[in-house]
Order: sequence, then structure tokens, then C-alpha cells
Amino acid sequence: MLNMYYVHKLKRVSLFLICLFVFAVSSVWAQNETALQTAAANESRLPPPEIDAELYSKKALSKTEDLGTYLAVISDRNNSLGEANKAVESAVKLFIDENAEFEVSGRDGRNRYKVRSYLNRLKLLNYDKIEISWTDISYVSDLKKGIDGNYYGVITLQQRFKGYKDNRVVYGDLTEKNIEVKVVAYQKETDGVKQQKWDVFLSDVGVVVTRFDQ
Amino acid sequence: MIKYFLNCFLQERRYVYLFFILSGCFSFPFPASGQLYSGHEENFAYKVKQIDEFLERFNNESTLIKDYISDRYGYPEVSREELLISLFDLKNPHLQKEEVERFIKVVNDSLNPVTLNFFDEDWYARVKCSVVYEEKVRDLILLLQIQKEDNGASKWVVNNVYADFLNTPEGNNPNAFLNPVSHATDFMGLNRAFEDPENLKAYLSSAFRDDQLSKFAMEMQNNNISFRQVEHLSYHFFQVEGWIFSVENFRRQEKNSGWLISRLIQADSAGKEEFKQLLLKEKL
Repeated sequence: MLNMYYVHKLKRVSLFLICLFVFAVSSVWAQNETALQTAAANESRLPPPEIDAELYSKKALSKTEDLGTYLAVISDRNNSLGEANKAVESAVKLFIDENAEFEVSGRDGRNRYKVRSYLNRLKLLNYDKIEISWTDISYVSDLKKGIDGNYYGVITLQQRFKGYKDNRVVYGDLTEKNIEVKVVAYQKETDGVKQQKWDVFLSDVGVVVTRFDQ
Repeated sequence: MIKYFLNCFLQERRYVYLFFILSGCFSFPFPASGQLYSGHEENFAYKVKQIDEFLERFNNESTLIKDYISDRYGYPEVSREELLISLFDLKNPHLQKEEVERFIKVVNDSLNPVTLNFFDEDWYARVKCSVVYEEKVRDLILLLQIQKEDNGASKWVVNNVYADFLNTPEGNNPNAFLNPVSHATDFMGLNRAFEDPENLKAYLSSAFRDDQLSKFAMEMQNNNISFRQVEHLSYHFFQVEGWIFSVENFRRQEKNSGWLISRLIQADSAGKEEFKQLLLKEKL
């Protein structure tokens, strides 16, 4: 009987310990859930990233200049196909995605090409050497928030293009370009601290060509 | 001084550029090839390159042209009146001097100056585009406006459309109707109605009004319309009390170029509503 008592007590103690264990585990689980929810809520309450207007402008123009550099490399027949392809890849990375489009104004109206397609077409240009430069003046609009939470702006600038054959300029134009830019926020964790950062990407490029006869 | 130049430029077009000289805009001689780009660069600086820049100048905000003139010519400040004048298409013979003066006076009133906000409701982009519908190239006019969300985000939305191919045909068959005893045969005549789309209106209530926007949405949904390109873009502003003005893009190699006021009309509320309807017409 004594054994039965102890067995009964052991059962009660075991049951108690099991309940305690379950309670403890569920408390921890609930706390984790709450912590996650709190973290998620805190993330959504993190202030939007501060976008310094001047820095945004510099970054946007810098990427535009990089684009000009890559365009020159792609179009230059003195460069190897490998170099041109590498420049295409680098240029594509400047854009928000490969659905961004280049608009070109021609005799038959306006045509639009996806980024990669436009860049690959440049490889077919028939010049020995290309010079691309930008005029000093550019207009950078204020940023506007899109409904996707990203910010959008536009840069308008002029690009000078000269195509050479046999060391002679055979084609030159001054092209006004309207380049949409997209400012995208992302999170970066450093030493366990999450920070909101942002970066600038190019998007659709509209073109109005002013051509000068050489 | 400004009134003098305003009178000059509206009466004597060659004096137009006096305004620019005042602002430090010297007229360059036709450039030799080495100077080709410097003239273009200055034209580019003066050009109203985006509608955003138009709004900046209209509101006398910090804007590229003020910095350019200050840096290049050392003029300390360009006045709002000068900026407003620069926003007109100075080659437009239809702009009336007195109207422009009155408009500038209203906008630049010292006690109640008028400014425009990109997120205002009462301005529209009129986009005339070419589309393909039923394998034919057709014109389509879209009226768009900015829609702002509570969180400060915004997007352009289509407010209205117009296209000939979205019209419900008027029909001309006097025999196309459901006669007054159609009910007796449980409306068997509906069969003929459904086979007679050309006379559809004859079967609809007289209260029926064409809803082109809904039709456009349906045709888009059914992939019946494909976009080709934008043929013409203009903006139309109704926010200034008693006035309507339109802005178009003037592509020319001059300082007075870019997005400029091409039309200025005095209008009350009724006049503004009438003009909004006109925006949907093929030709303004």
C-alpha cells in the first residue's frame, strides 16, 4: 500500500512536473511569438530611411555617368566581345531590373527596348571608337514616394556622342535624356542592429535626339 | 521695369530677349563647332525640362535656372515675375498681353500669392496615344491625374478616356426596337437585339450614357487594345481661381523652350468644367 501511495504520489508529481514543463515551454514559445511580433511591429515602425537630397542627387548622377562609361565600352569596336559583354552586365546592374526600357526616337517614330536588348544592340554599331560625355548641367527632380514605398525621381541631362571611323568623326549628336530613378530602401544588420539604408537605381530612359551633321 | 519688358515682349517679339539679357542671358552667335555645345548647354539650362521644373519656377522655389543665372552672371536673384514670364511660350501670337499681365498679377499677389502643388487634384495630363484595336491603329486620349494616398505615396491614374472606337454606335434602323408587346412572347425579340450591335442604342434606355472608361477597362482586360506610343502630351491646370492654362512641350533650340504655357483662358467654374469636357475631344 505504501508503494501504491508512492506510486500515486509519483504519478501526481510527474503529472505536475509535466504540466509545469508544458507551461514553461508554452510560455517560452508565447514569449518568442510575442518577441517576433514585437520585432515585426518595430520593423514596420522603423522610420523610413533618411534620404539626403544632395547625396541622392550625387548617387543618381554618378550612376548615370557610369552608364555613359559602359555605353562607350559596349559601342567601341576596339574592345573585345568579352569586354563588351562585361560592360553590358555591369550596365544592367545599374538598373532596377531588366524590365526597364530605353526609348529611342527615330525616323519611324519611337521604339522601346528592354535594357539588355538595347545594350546588346549597341555592340552592333559600326564605329572604330566612341566618345560619350555628359554636359555639366543636369536637372534632378525631387523624389516622390510611390505606392510601393520606394521613391521615384527623374534626371534630365544631355549626352554628347561621337562615333569615329579611321580617326574621323563620322557621326555626332547631342541627346537629351530623361532617366527615371528609383530609390529603394533595404535593411542592413551590423552587430545585431538593423539599419535602414537606401540605394539609387536607374529605370526607364526616354530619349529625344538632337542630331548634328558632321 | 518688369512691366516695361512685358509690354515689350508682347508687342515686339525681338525684345523678348531683353528679358533674358536682364537675366544675364546673352544671345550667343551661331556657334563654331568648338562652341557648338556651349550654346546648347545654355539653352538646356534655360529650357523648362520637366513639368516638375515648371512647378518649381511657377512657385519661385529653389530651381536650376536661378542657380545657373546666379553662378554664371552673378545676378543675386531672379524675381518671381521674371520666372513666370519665362514660363510662357513667347512665340505664341494668341497670348494676349493684358491677359498675361492679369494672370501674373493674380498669381504673384503679395498678400495671396498662388502656388501649385504637384499633388493638387485639379490638374491633368492629357495623353494622346496610338493603340492597336481590332488590328487597326487608332487614336486614344487618356486623361490622367495624380492620386495621393494617406501615407504620402502617389501614382498617376487614368481619370477618363476617349476614343471613337469606344463609342456606342447611334444606329439608323428605324425598325430596331423592342415593340410594346414584346412581353407577350416572353421577349423573343431580344434574339434580334443581340444580333444587332450596330443599333444597340435603340434597345437601351434614353438615360443611357456612354461610359468609355468602363469600356476601355473591359477591352484592356480582354487584351483587345495594345499600346504603340504617346503621340502628344499636354498638361492642363485648373487650380488658379478664374483661370485655366495649358502647358505643352516646345522642342526647339532656344532658351524659351521646353514645357511652356501655350494657352491661357479666363474661366469660372462652369467654364472650367466645359473645358474639361473639351479635353476629351480629338482636337482641342
